[in-house]
Amino acid sequence: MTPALEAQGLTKRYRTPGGGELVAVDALSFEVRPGEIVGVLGPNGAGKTTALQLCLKLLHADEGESKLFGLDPEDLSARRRVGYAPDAALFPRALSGMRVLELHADLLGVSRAKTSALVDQLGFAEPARRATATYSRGQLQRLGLAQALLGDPDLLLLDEPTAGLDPAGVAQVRALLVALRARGAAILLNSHLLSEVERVCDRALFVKGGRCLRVHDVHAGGQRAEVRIANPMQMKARLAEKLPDGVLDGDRFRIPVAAQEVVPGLVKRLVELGAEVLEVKLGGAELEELYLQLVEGRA
Amino acid sequence: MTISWPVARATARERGLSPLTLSISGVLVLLGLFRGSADSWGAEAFSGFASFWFFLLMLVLGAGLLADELESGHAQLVLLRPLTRAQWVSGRLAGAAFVLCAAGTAGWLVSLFAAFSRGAWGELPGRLLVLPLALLPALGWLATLVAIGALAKGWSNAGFLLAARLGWGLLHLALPVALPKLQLQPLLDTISHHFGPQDVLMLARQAQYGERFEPSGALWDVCWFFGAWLVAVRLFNLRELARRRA
Repeated sequence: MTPALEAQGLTKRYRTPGGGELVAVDALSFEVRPGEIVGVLGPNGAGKTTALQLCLKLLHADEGESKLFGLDPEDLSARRRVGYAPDAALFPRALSGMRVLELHADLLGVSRAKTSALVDQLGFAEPARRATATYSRGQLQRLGLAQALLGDPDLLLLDEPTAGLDPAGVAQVRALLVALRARGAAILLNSHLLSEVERVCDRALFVKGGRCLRVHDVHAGGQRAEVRIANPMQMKARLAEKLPDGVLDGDRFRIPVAAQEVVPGLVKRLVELGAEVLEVKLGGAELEELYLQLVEGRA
Repeated sequence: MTISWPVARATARERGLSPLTLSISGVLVLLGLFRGSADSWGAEAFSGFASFWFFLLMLVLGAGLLADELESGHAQLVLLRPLTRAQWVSGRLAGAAFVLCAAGTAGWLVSLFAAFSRGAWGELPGRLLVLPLALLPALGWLATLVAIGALAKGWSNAGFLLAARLGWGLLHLALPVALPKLQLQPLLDTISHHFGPQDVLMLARQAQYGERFEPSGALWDVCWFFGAWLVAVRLFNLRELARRRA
C-alpha cells in the first residue's frame, strides 16, 4: 500500500546572520500510512513545524524529498486529498469564518451544505457568522481545523491543533481524529501534549535538533496503568516484591497491563497488599519517560 | 493563464465590503449625481475632481492585494489547495478589478441618469464610450500595483506607484525648465506617452464630435494591462520559489 506521506532524508538548513548555518531538519525520514495517526514530539525549536512544511513543499528541502500518495506535493491531484492546519493560522480579518470556509470549499469543489454541516459538527456555527477579526485564539484554531477538514482529506497534517482550545474543544478534536482514522485517513500530528499523543497516536516520532531520535510504537506491549496511592513509603518494599513489573515514582505506581479489563483486578490486589488507592488512570506515563530519556537526556 | 474564480469572489467580497472602498465609491456616486452633464461629452464621472477619487479607489483596492494575504499566512493555506500560483495571483487581481469596475460603473450610471434628467440626451455615443475608456487605464494601473506588490511588503506597492507617478510628473515639468538648452521637452513627452497606462478619455470626445479618432492610446493600455498581469504572475512565482528555498 502506498503511504499517504513519505519523507526521505529531508534536510533544511538556514543561514544565520553571523554567516553560520543552522540545521533545522536533519535527514528526517518517516512515513504515515492510511488509517494511522503519527505524532511528532519534541521541544520548541526541534524542527517539527519546519518538517511539516517540508513535507508539503511549503518550504523546499536542501536534501531529500517527500511524497504525498506517491506524488510530488505540488501535484494538484495530491493536494486535493490533503488538509493542513498550521499553528496559529490567520485569516483575512474582514471576512467571516463562513466566507473563509466557502472560499476553501469552492477551491476543493465541496458543496455549501457540506461546509455548513462541518461547521455545525465542530460547534462553530455562531462564530462562523462573525468577521475573523473578532476571533479568540481558540476560535481561530477551530477555523483552521475546519478548513483543514473540508473535503474529507485522506491525509491531514495538524500543527498543535489543540493549542488554545478549551477542554471540550480538546476532547472534540480527539474524537474527530479517532473518527478520521477509522475511515482510513492518515494523520500527522505535531503536538506538545504527550497525553494527547499517547491517547490517539499509533506511533510517535521523537525529534530533537531536527533529527528523528526514535520512532516509538505507542501501543506495543499493551497499555499502562497509573495508580496514585496515599501511603507510598509503606508500600515501596511490598510493591517491589509482589509486583516487580511496576515502578513507584513518588506517589504514582505505574505498571504495564494487557488490557483495561484487568485494571479492577490490579486495584483489588493493591488494596489487599495494603495500598490506599486515591486515583487510577489508564495510559500511564511511558511516553513521558521516553521523552525525558530521549529528548531531555535524563536517565 | 487562468483565473481562480473562488479566489476572485472572495477578494471582491473582502475588498469591496471594506469601509474605505465603500466610502470612496459613495463619493464617486455623489460626484456623478452632482456633476452629471457638467461636460458636454459625458466624462463627468471620471474627469476633474472625480478622477482623483477614482485613482484613489484603484490605489486602495490594489494596496497590499497580495501582501495582506501572504503576510497573514492565509495565502499559504490557499496555495495548498489544487490551484496554481498564477491562478491565485490572477484571482486576486480579478476580484479587485471587479470592485473597481463595479464602483466606476455605479458612478457612471448615476452621472448618466443625472445628465439625462438635465436634458443631455444628445451626448449618448460619447457617454457610452466613457465607461470602458475610463476603466481601461485604471485596470492597467491596478495590474501595475499587483506587479509591484508581488515583491513589495504591506501596502508599500501603493507608495511606490504614487512616488513613481509624482516623481515622473515633477521631472517632466522641471527638467525642461532647469535645462532649456538641451531641449528635452519632446523626448520627455515621448517617454510620458509610454510611462504607464495613458488617459484615453479624450477618445470619447473625439467620437462625440466626429473628430479624428486616435485609438493607439487605448491599445497601449490594453497591452499594458496584460503585460503587467503577466509580470505580476512571473514575479510572484520567482518570489515564492525564492522564499521556499531560503
